[in-house]
Amino acid sequence: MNRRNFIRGTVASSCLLAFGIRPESVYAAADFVKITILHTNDVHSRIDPFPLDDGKFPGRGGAAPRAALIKRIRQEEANVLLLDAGDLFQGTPYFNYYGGELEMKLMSKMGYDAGTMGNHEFDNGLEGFNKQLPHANFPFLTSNYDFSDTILNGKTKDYHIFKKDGLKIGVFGLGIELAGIANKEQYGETRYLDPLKKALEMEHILKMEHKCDLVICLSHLGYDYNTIKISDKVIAKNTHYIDLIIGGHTHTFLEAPESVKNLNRNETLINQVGYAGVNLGRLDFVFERDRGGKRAYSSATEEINSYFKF
Amino acid sequence: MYSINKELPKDSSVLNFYQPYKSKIDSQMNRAVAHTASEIKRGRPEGRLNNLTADGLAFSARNHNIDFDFVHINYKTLRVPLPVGQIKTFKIFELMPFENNLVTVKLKGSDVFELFQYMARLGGDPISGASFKIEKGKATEILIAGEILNFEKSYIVLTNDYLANGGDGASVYLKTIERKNHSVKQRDAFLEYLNQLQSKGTLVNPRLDARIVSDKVIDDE
Repeated sequence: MNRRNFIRGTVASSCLLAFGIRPESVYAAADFVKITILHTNDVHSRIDPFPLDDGKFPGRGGAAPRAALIKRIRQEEANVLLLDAGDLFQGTPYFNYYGGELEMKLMSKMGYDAGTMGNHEFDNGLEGFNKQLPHANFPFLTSNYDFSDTILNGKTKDYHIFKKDGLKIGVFGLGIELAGIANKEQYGETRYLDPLKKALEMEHILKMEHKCDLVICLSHLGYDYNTIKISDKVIAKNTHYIDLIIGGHTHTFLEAPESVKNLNRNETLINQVGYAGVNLGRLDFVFERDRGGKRAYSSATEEINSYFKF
Repeated sequence: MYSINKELPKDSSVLNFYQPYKSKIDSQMNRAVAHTASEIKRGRPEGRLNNLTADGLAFSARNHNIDFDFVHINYKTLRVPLPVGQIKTFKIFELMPFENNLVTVKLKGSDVFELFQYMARLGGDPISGASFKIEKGKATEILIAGEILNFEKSYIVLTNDYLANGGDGASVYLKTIERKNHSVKQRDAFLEYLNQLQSKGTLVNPRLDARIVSDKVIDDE
């Protein structure tokens, strides 16, 4: 994996981060593998789109258009992972009435591969989350919440490894400190573990032990703060092997993924797509099959296909 | 990144799947829970919406056999005014969107005094079962159930978990002698009160009754 050759460059435009590929270059399908990451964060029970007279996001969001789009992308792409960075609960009467049941069921129906727990997942207490968990057919990744003395013991995972077309994608989850933003009665005996320490441990397990080709952190820590508070940026700068942090909590709208130099002087990307499901994030990572290294990525939506023949 | 918007096709299996959930909510959200005589707004030092909600919580708490001496909730928990005429359930969800529960906090008389000073600094908060004056930013003439605040006694305040946890700078609540969390949501308690008014055919028309009088008028934010 030290052959990884991760090329820097702008991702704001629709162009692929070329590594010497001229637009006319054509690579055979057999040479490359593309992994398509789709993601959401802070959907906050926004199951119906915003009303058309909404002041901020008229007609935006909604589970049905999101599901249709995901379905279409799955038809176009062979290797799709659909991930959520937490706070699926709270924000509309759907949560007040059904306690998160519908959010879980719809995410399962859309084929989410993994999620993490945001602070609002604790709104109805550990019992409230535990009650809805059977409605999810995907794992919740929560490496820095120690639930051993709670009813959630053994019901979430630190990380999960997905295998796609010969590649291993390791995904782990990080949650925010609950003291101060949730009631003790809600999180009970949950122990909050240092997210950076946990991230270092997780990246080691995923990269060094399991030899993952791609390491993704699903984080509900928040994008960036003016204080020393731990954030996605702090995690990105102080770890070695994370390729992508999919963030949440701060409801940050990033036009394009933020690129941060990690401890290995490689690039770690951070992405977050606002809130309420008004956007669906997408990142494509391209791997050279024979050499195994990650060669390029794009945050464009489809144009990457014009450079690679898949 | 894709924008999710109304131009996109909708997945009909998803729409069909959640339609029963939606119908149930829509029918309940569109249920009329009250009729108001005029628009009811929050205000400082005292507001008609403040009095309506604080009195409503007091009413429902008694129905739930919750023991307390007076009610105090935070002004900012009242998010929108109630318009004139028919009020539907969804308006109460807009008024109180958060899942706050009722909490009772027992405080020493001297800490209750501090609590009123906190309210005076803010220019007044929604209360029920108590009254006071604000003079030069200080609370004076504090009466609980019509009687002068006694520093030697302890009092039970009915509030919500947000304030009881010291939210909005109300750290005085953390000095509690005894705290009880009740499994009654603030919003549900208020809805219970409105339902009760509606079942009697009462038009909702709260009054300002000088429970808080200030030497200074504070504009709503």
